[in-house]
Amino acid sequence: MEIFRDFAKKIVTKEDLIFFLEEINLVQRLIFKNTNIPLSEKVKENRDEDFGKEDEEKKVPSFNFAFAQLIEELEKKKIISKNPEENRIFFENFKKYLQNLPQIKIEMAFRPKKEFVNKISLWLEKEIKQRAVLDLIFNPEIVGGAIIEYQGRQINFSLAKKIDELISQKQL
Amino acid sequence: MGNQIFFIILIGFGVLAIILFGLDIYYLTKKPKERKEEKGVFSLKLSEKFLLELEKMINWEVKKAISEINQKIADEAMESYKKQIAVFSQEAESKIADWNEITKKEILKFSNTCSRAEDSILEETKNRTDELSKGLDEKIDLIYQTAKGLVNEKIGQTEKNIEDYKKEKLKEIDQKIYLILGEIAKKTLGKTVDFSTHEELVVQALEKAKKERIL
Repeated sequence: MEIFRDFAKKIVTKEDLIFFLEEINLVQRLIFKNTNIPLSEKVKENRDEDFGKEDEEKKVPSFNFAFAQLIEELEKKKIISKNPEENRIFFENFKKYLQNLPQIKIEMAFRPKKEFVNKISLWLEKEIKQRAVLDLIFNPEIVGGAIIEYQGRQINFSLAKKIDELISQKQL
Repeated sequence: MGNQIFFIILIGFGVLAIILFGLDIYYLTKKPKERKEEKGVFSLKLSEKFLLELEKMINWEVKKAISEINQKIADEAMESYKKQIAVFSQEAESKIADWNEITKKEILKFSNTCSRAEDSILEETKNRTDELSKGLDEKIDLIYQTAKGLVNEKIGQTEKNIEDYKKEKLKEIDQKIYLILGEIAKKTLGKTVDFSTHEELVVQALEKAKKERIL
């Protein structure tokens, strides 16, 4: 579905994905409450009050502005209707789509800035012709470079590996 | 007893006086003629014999009476004595029996009292022992808990100190390792690994992954 793909563009890292899935879980709990009120209104009403408090206690992400906008957009486009059961099925499918997005695990020796993360994301979209979620792991032991894992395959381009190779060669 | 003897002797003298009085009356009532005729021979004959006989008889009677009286007194005294002895004996036996009964009761009472006292002492001793034991246990437990708390506190503090020291040392070692690794990386790459170098190395890694068809 195009709307899924459009919104998936906003999801760059695995943290973004987890956050978004939590928001869908929260909105699903509102679907069957006060069905005469539009869902976007319920999201707005609950964003800073009930869900905000719950979030603080349970450390669960709350609705953000972008999510509220998405719901509004979905209502305008009549993708979500007044039928609660249809909406439930829609969000279930949305969750499945997001959970099935390809993930690339990249282990790095530094904590990258947001710009660099976006740069990698765009590069990957361009090069592999597919939207992928980045699972970024900070590991200073690799010294530099990266260890990349995708679809069950892994390759080590770290400086630590190069150093090990050099030491091994000198010992021989 | 003395009164009875006195009474019997008095009766004896009374009998003698009556006999003498009777003889006098007999002589006085005889006719003067007869008395004159007899006066020379008969009167003297009878008088001496009679007097002797009379005296003998009186003596014998008196002796007999005294003997009988003595016997009677002795018998009565013996009887009375026997009765008194029997009464006394009975009373004594009764008293002894009573005394034995009282003694038994007293002994039993004393024994019971002793037994109760013994039980009471044992109970009290047990209670005291229990109290002391409980108090002692509580004190020992308190001392143990206090000591345990202190030891645990010390152990905890020591463990924390060791952990802090370990962390500090590991941090120092990590820093040294990164410095060494940085130096090695510098020698490997021919330049220092800064932020942009890191980014560059990651992009290079992604490109290599693409070339090797990992991506």
